[in-house]
Amino acid sequence: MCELQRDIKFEDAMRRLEEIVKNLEEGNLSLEEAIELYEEGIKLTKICNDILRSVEKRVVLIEKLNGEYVQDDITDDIYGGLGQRE
Amino acid sequence: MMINNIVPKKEWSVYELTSYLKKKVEMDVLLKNIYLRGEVIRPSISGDHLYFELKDLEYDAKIKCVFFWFDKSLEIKHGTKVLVKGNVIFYEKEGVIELKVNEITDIGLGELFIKLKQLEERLRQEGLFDSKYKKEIPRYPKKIGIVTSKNGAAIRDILNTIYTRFENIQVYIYSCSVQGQNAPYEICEGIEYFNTSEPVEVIIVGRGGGSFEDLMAFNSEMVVRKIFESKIPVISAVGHERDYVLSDFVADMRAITPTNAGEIVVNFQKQALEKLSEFQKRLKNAIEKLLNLSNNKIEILRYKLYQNSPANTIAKCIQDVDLCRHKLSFAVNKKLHEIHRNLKSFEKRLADRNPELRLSVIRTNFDNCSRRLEEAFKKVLQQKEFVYKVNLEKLIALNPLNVLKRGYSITLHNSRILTTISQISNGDEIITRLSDGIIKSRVFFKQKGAGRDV
Repeated sequence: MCELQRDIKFEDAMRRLEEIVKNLEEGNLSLEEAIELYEEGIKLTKICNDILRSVEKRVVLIEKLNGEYVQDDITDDIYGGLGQRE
Repeated sequence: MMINNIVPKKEWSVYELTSYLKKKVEMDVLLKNIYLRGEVIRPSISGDHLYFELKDLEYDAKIKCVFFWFDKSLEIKHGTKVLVKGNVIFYEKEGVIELKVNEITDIGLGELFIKLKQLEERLRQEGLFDSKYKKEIPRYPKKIGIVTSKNGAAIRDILNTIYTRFENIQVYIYSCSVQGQNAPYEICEGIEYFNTSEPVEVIIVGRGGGSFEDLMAFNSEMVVRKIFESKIPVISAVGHERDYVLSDFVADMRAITPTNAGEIVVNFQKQALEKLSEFQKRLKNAIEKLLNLSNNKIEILRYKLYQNSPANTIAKCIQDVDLCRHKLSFAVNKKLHEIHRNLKSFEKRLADRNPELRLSVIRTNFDNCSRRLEEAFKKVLQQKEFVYKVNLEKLIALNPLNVLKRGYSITLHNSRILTTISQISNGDEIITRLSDGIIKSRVFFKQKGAGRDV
């Protein structure tokens, strides 16, 4: 079985996954081939899931103060004093 | 008075309530001849009267207005900011409060509208709104830049929408003014900042709802051109659905609200997640189906193998043998039974033909015969005895010796009795027999015929 690249592009992974699902559903495969494809599919779903979910959330507020840009990480306090007009 | 009539009652009629409210509203002196500032919403002319709603500039508050005998030369458009004078009335039939307008002053925005229309036309002519320049919004952006006020509601709406669905998106908020004189410059700086200092995959430019004036920054030529020049795709998210600004036309995509902008950036991720979970399900189903199929095949083969296994064959043979044994045993038993029955039958028949019986019959017969024989013999014997006795009597009577006694004799020649003279010749020796002895003599004469004379 070909080694899956962890840096595979998300859309490529999804395309390959779709191909695998179709192949498996058509069912003209030997059991070994099917299992190999299935394992590859499961790995791809994991990779896709990771790409979709696993990156950490980060909210950065940029303000121009005295002519300079100031970046402030407000991830932990998601609104960080935002939108308190009401 | 009407109040006295109403208070004790538990139930009011609708008319009683609306009449009461009408009196309440119209008796209030504070509500007479007031000046009201606001934005005209959905004006419509019916006959000689103008109907519209007046919207608060800061808050999302509205009131229905009616201007009877309206001067049609005045151009009142949707979004026009006006100052009106009038009385608050309660319209019983609809149960609503309305402002009965007497005067409209300060129709300030008409000129601005015309300028804006002209700008829009010019930019359109230049091709800034052409679809051929629209960049594609990245489907799975990980890094998003937002140009808006940190104090507005829009930023919370966008963040809420993104983070209730996805945690994996980095958001950079460039805080700027979104209304007022500086707003266009600051918005442009924000777009520039993301294009140079903090490269993001997509920029959302916008603010929450507001008056026509409040949204003007997004109608500014400077902002429109800046959005057009941005290398990074831009989503315009200004105000509410009905609010249209020039940034909406120039942006690569228009979001109908800031919340919608958040939805747009995570939409593909959301769809991808759904698709992914569908793929997972299908993957699982397909392999399970295949495995089940294989399992079934194995099960069938295992069964066939078992069916044809030596052990099974032997077991079958044993069964067959057993069956044969049973059949044999049955057959033998049956035969034995039959033989036994035959034997019985023979025995019976034999018994029926017992020789002793016959013997006894024969013996009886024999006895009968024997007795009859004996009797017959005895009878014959008696007869014979009788005949013998008779014959004996006769014999006795015929005894020649007895004749000889009476003087007769018998002449014998060569031991033969002579009955005729021809039997002898002269010279023959003859023996004469008498009752008490014999005489031997020689024949010297003979003569035929009885000669008494001699």
